[in-house]
Amino acid sequence: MVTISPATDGWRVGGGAPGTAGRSARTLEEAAAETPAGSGIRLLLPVSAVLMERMRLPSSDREELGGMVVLQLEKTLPYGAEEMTSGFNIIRQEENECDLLAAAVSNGQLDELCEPLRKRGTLPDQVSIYAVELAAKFPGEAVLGLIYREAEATILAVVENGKLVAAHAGPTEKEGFLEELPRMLLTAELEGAPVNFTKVVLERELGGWIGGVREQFPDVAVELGSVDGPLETGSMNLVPSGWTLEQQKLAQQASLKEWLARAGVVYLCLLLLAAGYIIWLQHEVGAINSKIAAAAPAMDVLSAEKAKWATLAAATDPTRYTVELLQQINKCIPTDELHVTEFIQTPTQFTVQGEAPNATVAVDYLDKLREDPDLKAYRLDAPEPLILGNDHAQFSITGTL
Amino acid sequence: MTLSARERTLSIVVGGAVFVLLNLLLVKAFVQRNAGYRQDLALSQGEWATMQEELGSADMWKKRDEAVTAKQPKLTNQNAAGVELLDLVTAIAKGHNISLVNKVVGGVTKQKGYKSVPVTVETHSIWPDLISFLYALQKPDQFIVCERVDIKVDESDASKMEGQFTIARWYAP
Repeated sequence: MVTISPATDGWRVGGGAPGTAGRSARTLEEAAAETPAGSGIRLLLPVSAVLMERMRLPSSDREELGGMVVLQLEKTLPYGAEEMTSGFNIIRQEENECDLLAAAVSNGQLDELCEPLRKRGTLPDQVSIYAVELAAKFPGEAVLGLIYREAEATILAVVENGKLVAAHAGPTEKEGFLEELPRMLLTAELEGAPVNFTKVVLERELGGWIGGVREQFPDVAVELGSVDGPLETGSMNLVPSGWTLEQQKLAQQASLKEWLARAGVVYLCLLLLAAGYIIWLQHEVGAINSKIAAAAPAMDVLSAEKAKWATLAAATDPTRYTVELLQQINKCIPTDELHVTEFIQTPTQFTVQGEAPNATVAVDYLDKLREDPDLKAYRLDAPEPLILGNDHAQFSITGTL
Repeated sequence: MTLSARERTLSIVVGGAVFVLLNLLLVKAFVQRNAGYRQDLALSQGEWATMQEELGSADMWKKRDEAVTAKQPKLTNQNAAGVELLDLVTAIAKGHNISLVNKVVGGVTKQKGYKSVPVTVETHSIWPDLISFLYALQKPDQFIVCERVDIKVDESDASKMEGQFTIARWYAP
């Protein structure tokens, strides 16, 4: 949870929780930019942004008190209940009565103030008042006067046992503030706040004012103190009811955006993978083609050597010699009744003509020639055997390289 | 500028349609390119494998070529080559009881890869003699080729064979 609180020069981001250091921002836009995405926000409002009223109400039940506070505020404030968000802080509780400090903030003003955060897709999870949270840092003081700077004002806060009782904004310059201080004290007193301070704490940055403040409070200890540092989370939360729905919507939008971003990353990865795969394929084809091109001269030489060998095969390859062919042809004769009558040969072809006792024997002879491994180089063709008058079959088999 | 709900819906629908269309085009392009390159790759790999296999036997083919080049006779005397071949054929025929008739010496013909010097003869013999004649005629280092052979049973004597041969010696080109 990141705390955005008012500071001397605008806003302070972080530093509101133990162990965190604050960063300064001049505007809430800058503060919003400083907020890490996805982290919760606790917004502490300056005194000038809220209306505070001290009340004494006849109840001690928080729920009843809430209703009464709204009714009371409606009487005094120019907003309807639906146009504002209110909260209260119990200062003193008796059996059937409560002294409390009621605070209200206009929803419109809050919306306007938080617009920079909304633009970044987030809204505060918790809204409280800086002075109320600051007062809680001084639980040991019966009546404490706290003077510190918020952006455009110097605040006089009256704190009773760690509870804010009243807070008023005064001028930022020393003289104006010191001049205004008696009137601010009188107003606080009229509101019912005690002003018989046991101690006055002046923010360390306003150290130059200490003389003037001491003159105003001659019988009271005036000390310099730090208002920085961790702040406890109080019970007051001024988050408008409409924001809950909006926050859910924003959370859904953020979730959708995150999902879309992840899907986009996966999509891009897939695109890159596909493109990479195509480039790799292209590269592989190119690499193999380069090897083929590099080996082409050697292949040309080899092809020329093979072609020369093939051309001269009739002279150099014994399986192509006439006597070898005649040997194969005779070897395949299936029966003595089959007679070869003519053998014709050229370097690329041979023809065997003959007479078989019947067509079956002629076909059988052709099959044997085809099965002969030494004649595999030849494609053997033969027309249907011619049946002679004596029922013998005349055949003609041609083998072509 | 803020879009209304209807405008937002419409923009999502249009954007989605464009996205889907674009992806269809991308997928189509990818599938086409993938198929094309895979086919090219398969062809190239096949070609390369064949080349490697063939180049593996390159030494053998080189030796064969060197042997053929060394052994193939050179034609030094065109006029005498035919007669020399006929004398050789006649001598072999005589040694295997083959009678030669109609002996003709042909002219030198230049072919792709060799020069052919042919002679034409007709033979009359019994089958075993013819076989032994042919066996003696063709040897690997002689470069003698039977360019045309026609052997058939002698019509006048069925125990004999008659043959017409065009026998050539193939010289180096």
